[in-house]
Amino acid sequence: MIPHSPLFATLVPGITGILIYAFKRWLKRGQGWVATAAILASVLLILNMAPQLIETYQTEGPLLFTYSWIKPIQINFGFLIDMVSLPIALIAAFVSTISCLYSIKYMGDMQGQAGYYANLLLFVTGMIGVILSENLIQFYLFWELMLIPSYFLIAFWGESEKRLDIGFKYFIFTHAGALSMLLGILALYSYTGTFTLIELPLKVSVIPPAMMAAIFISLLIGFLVKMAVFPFHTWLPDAHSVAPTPISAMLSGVMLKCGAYGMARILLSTFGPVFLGGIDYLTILGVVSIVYGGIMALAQTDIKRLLAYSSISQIGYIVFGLGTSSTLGIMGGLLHIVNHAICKSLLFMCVGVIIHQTGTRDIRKLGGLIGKMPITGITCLIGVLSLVGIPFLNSFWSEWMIFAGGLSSGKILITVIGVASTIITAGYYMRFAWKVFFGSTPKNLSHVEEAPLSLRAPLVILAATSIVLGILPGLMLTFITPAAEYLFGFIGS
Amino acid sequence: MLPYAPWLCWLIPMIGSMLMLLFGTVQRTRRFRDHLAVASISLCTLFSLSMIPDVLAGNIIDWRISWAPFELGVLVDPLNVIMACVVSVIGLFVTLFSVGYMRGESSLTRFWFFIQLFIGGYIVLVMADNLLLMFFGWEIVGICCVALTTFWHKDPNKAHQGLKVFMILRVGDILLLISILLIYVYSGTLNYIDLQQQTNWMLQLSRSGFMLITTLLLFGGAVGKSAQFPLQGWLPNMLTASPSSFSALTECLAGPFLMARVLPIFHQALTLGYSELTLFFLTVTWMGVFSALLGALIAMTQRNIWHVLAYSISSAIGYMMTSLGLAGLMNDLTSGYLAGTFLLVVDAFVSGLLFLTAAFISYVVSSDDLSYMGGIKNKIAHRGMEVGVLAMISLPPLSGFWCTNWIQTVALDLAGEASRNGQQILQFSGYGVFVMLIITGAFTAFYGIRMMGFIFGKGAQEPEEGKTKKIPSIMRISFVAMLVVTMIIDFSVPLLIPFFNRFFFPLLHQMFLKDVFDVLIYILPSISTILTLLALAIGGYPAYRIYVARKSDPTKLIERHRLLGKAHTFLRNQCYINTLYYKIAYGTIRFSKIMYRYLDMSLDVLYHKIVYGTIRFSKIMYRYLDMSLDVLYHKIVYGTIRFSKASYRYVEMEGISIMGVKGVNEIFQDLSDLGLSFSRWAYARIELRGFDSFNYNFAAYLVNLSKKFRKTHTGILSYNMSAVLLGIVLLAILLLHFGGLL
Repeated sequence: MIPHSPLFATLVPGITGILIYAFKRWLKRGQGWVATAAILASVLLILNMAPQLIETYQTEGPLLFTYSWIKPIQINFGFLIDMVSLPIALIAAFVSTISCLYSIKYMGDMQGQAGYYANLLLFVTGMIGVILSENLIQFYLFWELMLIPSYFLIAFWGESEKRLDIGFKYFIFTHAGALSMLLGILALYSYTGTFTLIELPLKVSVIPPAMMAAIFISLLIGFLVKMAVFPFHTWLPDAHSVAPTPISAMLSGVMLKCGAYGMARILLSTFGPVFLGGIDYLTILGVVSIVYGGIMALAQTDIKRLLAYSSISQIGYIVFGLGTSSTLGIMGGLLHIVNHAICKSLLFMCVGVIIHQTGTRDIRKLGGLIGKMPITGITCLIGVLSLVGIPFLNSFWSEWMIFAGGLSSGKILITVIGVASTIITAGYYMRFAWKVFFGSTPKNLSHVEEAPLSLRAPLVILAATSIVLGILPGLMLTFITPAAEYLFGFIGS
Repeated sequence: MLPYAPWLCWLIPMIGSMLMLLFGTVQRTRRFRDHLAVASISLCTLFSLSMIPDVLAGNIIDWRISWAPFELGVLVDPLNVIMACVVSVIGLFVTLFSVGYMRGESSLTRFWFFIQLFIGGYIVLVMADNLLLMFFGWEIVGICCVALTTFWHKDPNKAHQGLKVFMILRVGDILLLISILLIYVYSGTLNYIDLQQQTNWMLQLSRSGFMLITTLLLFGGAVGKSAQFPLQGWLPNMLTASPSSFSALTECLAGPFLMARVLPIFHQALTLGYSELTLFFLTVTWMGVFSALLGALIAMTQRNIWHVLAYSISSAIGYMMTSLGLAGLMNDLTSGYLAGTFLLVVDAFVSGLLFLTAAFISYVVSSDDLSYMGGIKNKIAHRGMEVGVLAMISLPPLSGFWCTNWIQTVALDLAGEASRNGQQILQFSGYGVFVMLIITGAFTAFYGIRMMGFIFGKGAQEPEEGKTKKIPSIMRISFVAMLVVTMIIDFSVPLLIPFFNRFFFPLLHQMFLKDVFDVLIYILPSISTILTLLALAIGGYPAYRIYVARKSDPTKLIERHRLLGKAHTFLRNQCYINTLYYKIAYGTIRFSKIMYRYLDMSLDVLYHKIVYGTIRFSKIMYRYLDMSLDVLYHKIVYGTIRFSKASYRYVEMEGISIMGVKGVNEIFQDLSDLGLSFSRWAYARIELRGFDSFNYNFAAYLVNLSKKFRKTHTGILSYNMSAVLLGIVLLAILLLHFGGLL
């Protein structure tokens, strides 16, 4: 393992981003490639920690990297690499790499390339930083670091006239959530005197129960807003449909998952008993999100908005899975974070290709595209079928586990409703896929051609990942099974 | 058994389908696509058939491998092997037939990819030893089915049918998935054998009250797949939209297969005393009967040959479900179970033959409409139709006669057994099922003869000129092969049944029908035989009169009897089930739009209101509170300034003259004047006269003293020495004094 891997993995993209902006005159068209290389380096750095983690996890526990930072109050700058954070960080970096690769062609005609890549890379640093953080204060700092570049990306490079308003809305919502979270974090510190994620679970017993619930709720609200769970979701359809497509892929694919990660990492480990008391509410919230997002997606005619609403629905699955507080459910929830990241970014990129090639985003004006653009069509169908829950594609496994988790925690009725509501998921995805890819092609689209290789390659990579993880779920479960057992350990005990 | 046969029989077609992608993309190898497909399916058939000797030898092999984090496995047992053989053999015929049928189509790569994946998935479904792998096969089959339905995806209508098929199948799949999850959560395993051996999960499931729901959901999954009421609407669509050559290998049989697979498990649970399962088996029986009747009724009125066949197979599967349900209700499931599975196997061939015949005829006349199919002068098509239809309408001695009679006998057996045990509901059910099946038999006879009459009855409409196509020889050969195999099976049913029983011995551990005589004695001498034949005559004669002899005009009949007309319209529109689906689908979409408009938008508006409200509030606050605070501060500041100015002027400088008070400044002035005058006084008195004059006087005194001393500095030694002496003496005195001597 390369020493200081997590430090480099977190900082390399951000620093490269600043350098790209500084040396934009020399780089010219190479900016995109440099940016992709920087995130790819981050992927490799995260990946190179995996063998050692697998080897020593059973005996020595997580890998900790700490650098002293604010000495007087004993706050370190540190990274916690364990079975929970590693796979999610890996997938975040991976999806970001693909998005960045996709941007090279997709954003090629945009003004202000250097600024775009600089923001994108800082955004990536923020996300990886959140996931690998060892203490809450660092978590919060990266959380906000994630927000600011993404705000700029929406507000400056967005695809609609309303982008400034929508960017503002996004900023306000997420920031308000973050503040609620900060309140929780500081309250935790005031009782326990520590920010460290490892020490917190051991020290929370000093907090009075009523206060515990209050802290739990304030943290939870922070995460739920980020995840855009009903009813805190209204920023998402706007932000995700207006953001440039590669950024939509990252927002939907990865950024939402930071909220889910926080929920798993902090709430499950620190607030076990409170969490257990909240099973009913969380699972109901999850199912409401699934149904609500699905019904809303069914009503959409704008394809990006449709996918945005489907993200709300899919996040509902994750909330449901984590909310069941059973090993299977947590496993499914964590796995769905990974799987949904792959599939949803794949779908956003497919839709981006469709918009790029046809110039329309209205579902009613599209049709019969599979004959015109077979690769895009097939990859998109793979993404759709995966999220619908067809076996041998990755999301089947996570959905299966999520609902099995629901049943094993004894919430039969709500789980049955949840499973039944997947018919809505199938409904809107299939309706979308069918309207866009099958049937007759409208006359004005008869000239449409398949996307260039630089746009097709990311789609094929993601679709292949989806199939590989579908056939070999063990690849991800190597990490996620111990992670779920670890997190469940806090609840069970 | 050939080495690794249980695995390779489904891996080969799957690998074949992957190779097909490779072959299809490379220009040079493209023409070998058909050969590759035939080769892979033939191999698969060979491997499937090679497992028969093992089963006959009485072995049940459960071959499990670990596949992190789950366990996968295949089970070599009678039911699995016989289904694998049926699927692969019919699959082989279908493949050969398709080589001719699809010749000249574009996108053949796609066609072969999905056909092979379909067959592979189907064999996974039937060979799996656990519900999870079974579900994988189930889904693969479903997806392939949808993909083949939308094979001509440029036709908007056919593309739409694909979506519909997907959605309806999905409903069944989800029901099945919930059931599988429930079983998994309670038992921790999905393996059929483990589920049967470990009965603890049944206890827990029963205690939590979900036993009935779980089993019914499982049945719901089977209903969806096997096109039973109320989820049968997808099958006619699929058959009309997909390339017809593949329809012969219908996936519907997966439904009864699944029921047959889990039946022993649930039957065991029932015998262990979980009595709620009686309700489950009753549901299966009655849903089966109802589907059989409804399918036959709807098939009577359809004009499209695929619709007729779709409802006919739905009806046949209804018979299988009935039989399996009856088996579950009886103390000894052997007879009903054998009847159901036997019908499953035989009907796979009979229906397969009918589908192939229909594909054959529709290929020749380029139409699916029955009224265009008349006058076709093709002998083998006629033979196919005859063998298939006559078997279907239970004309003795063909297969249908034996199977329906068998099932009816089982129903009577159940009634007898129930009356001995005093179970009234079961007794009633047995008789009810029996009567309903006889009635269904009459309808079946009607639509079977009607279909035949359309195709080669007298006075059928002539096909349009130039519409008939030449038939490729491979299509003809494969069709004849299928015909011959089906005929052999069809005519030798009484001989096959004992063999079938022996084949199933490892599973049932019982030889129920040992030889041909057993079969004849069990099935023939009963009221069922007479009633079956009667129903055949009652149903067949009107159909013969109307459609074959053309003695009466059906349209006039319908006009004359209004009730008949209404029933006809109702059935012709497939009981409006399709309309119901569309109502649900469009209702959901409309609901979602309304929700979007009112709820989501209003939530958004609410947040906007909150934001703008906050802004307005802040403006108001700014204006009233902040501004007034500002004014206050201003006032405070200016007040302070004014106060300080005033106080400076009146207190500091001048004093308040009216009140005769002196200002601070004036007081200071006075004080300083006072101090000045004091200092002046003090300077003269103390400084000058006191210290200064003292200094002067002191200095003058010192000068005088030094002058006096100078006089002693005269150089006279005695003066000097005496002064030294005086000093020493004084010093000595001092020392002595402080030394303490004095």
